[in-house]
Amino acid sequence: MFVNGIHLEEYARLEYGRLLWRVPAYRERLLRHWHDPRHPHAERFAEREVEVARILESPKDSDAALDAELRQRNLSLRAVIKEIPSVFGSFFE
Amino acid sequence: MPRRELKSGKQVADWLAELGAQLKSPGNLTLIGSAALLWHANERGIGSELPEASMDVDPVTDSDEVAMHCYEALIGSEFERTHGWHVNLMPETVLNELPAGWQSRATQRQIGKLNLFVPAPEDLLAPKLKRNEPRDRVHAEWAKRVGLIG
Repeated sequence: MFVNGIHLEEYARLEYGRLLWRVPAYRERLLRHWHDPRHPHAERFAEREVEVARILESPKDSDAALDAELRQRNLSLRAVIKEIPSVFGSFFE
Repeated sequence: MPRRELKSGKQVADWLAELGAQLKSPGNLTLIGSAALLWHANERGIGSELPEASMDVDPVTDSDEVAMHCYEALIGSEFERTHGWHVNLMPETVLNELPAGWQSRATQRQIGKLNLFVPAPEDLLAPKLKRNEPRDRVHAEWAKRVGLIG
């Protein structure tokens, strides 16, 4: 199943990432987790943090505009959503 | 010894009771998938276990507090180690897969500050039967056998 061409499970990371990014303490917790050296994608996240943060800060109804803007820079909303790291319950402290 | 899979409606009801008791602010949660079928079974006093047991619960929420609690129960979490299953938040769009008008047929319950919505069994089974994988057919047959659907 897809949402605007984006796999449902991946879109969930954007939808709930946006929701939780609005809570400052939780945003800090996510950032700590994604920068944690134990996180397998920590280095990759560090390289793409600015773009990931930008889509997580974006309003819920901004997907089309965001995608159009990203495409002007040879990116896409789908591509940046894939860069939102997973949360690993085993060390989400 | 904790159950290692999600087989009984009591497991779902217990989790929802725990979640409702933890919330500090009112929050909505819509439960879908096989866990929702199990919840209906528990509500009707049906103790029959779900064949082809599930490994997760699929909720949808618009509440940051509910979402935070669900994140504590992600795959690999302490919650999963204790319960044997995990919580897999689904995007709101997934509700579009349910038949039109499902909201009017859904069951609503207040559990502490948790406002729970569970679509009717027939509506829960519609996307499963559309997908029509063997496991989906087994769940539909179970729902019929235990009397969740006519």
